Amino acid sequence: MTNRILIPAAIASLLSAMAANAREITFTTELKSYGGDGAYVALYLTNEAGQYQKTLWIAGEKSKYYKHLSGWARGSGLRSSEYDALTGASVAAGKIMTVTLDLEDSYIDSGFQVRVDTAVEDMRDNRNDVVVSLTTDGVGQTTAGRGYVQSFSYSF
Amino acid sequence: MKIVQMAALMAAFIISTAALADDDCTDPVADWQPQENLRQLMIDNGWDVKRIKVDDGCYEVKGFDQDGHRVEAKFSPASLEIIELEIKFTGSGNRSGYLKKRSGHQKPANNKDSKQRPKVNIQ
Repeated sequence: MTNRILIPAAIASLLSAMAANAREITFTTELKSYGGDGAYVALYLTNEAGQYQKTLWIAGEKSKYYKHLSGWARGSGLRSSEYDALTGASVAAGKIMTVTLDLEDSYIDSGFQVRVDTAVEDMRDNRNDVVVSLTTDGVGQTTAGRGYVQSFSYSF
Repeated sequence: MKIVQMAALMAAFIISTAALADDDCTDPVADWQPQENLRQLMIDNGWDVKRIKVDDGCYEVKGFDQDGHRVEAKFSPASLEIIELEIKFTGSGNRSGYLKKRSGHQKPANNKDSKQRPKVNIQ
């Protein structure tokens, strides 16, 4: 009985400790007017070596197309546990998507990178459309994408 | 004996293949209404019908709805009842005629690993 009470208490204290070491961060992704259907966009974290760490957001509702977000697909193994509750509508050309979430401090100023992969039906897929380091100095800086991303920035 | 086993194996294979080939609509062909009836029904509803074809035993309609949104719908060929509807909301057309489906169908956040659903806004 004691154990049953202790375990939830331990989890609760762990969660509150994690929350204390997290901060709210907003990623802003503006797409070009590329003249096609809505874009599928993967926003995810890698380490310095480009190894996948975690999914932040997947814009695009049909999982059968997720393989076209090829960098993210390779890293995440397309496991649904990686993107459960982290998906939503695709982003139309020319639109701006803002994603706000709580991210652990350990990901900031520690060599981790935010990457954006994009894909559009009947058009080319863009692995690493955007790759930026997640640093305090990088806050507010705008980066141009290689594919459908016009500009990308983050703030916290 | 071997012949009996082979026959059983083949029968099982044929049955499983038939199961795989199941259609979405199973209306007997004799009961099907002409495609023109469906076309007229959709035109009466304000749709601009671009194509009607038969897919998986159903009528599949592609076109634009009364507000100019691109639509793809499946209908039962006998009753012309709608079975599946896919809408692409584009431009500034009116969306109020459709149910706010997303709000009721969002997956709950996965509390198991404290994964929180981010706030997402598309402008």
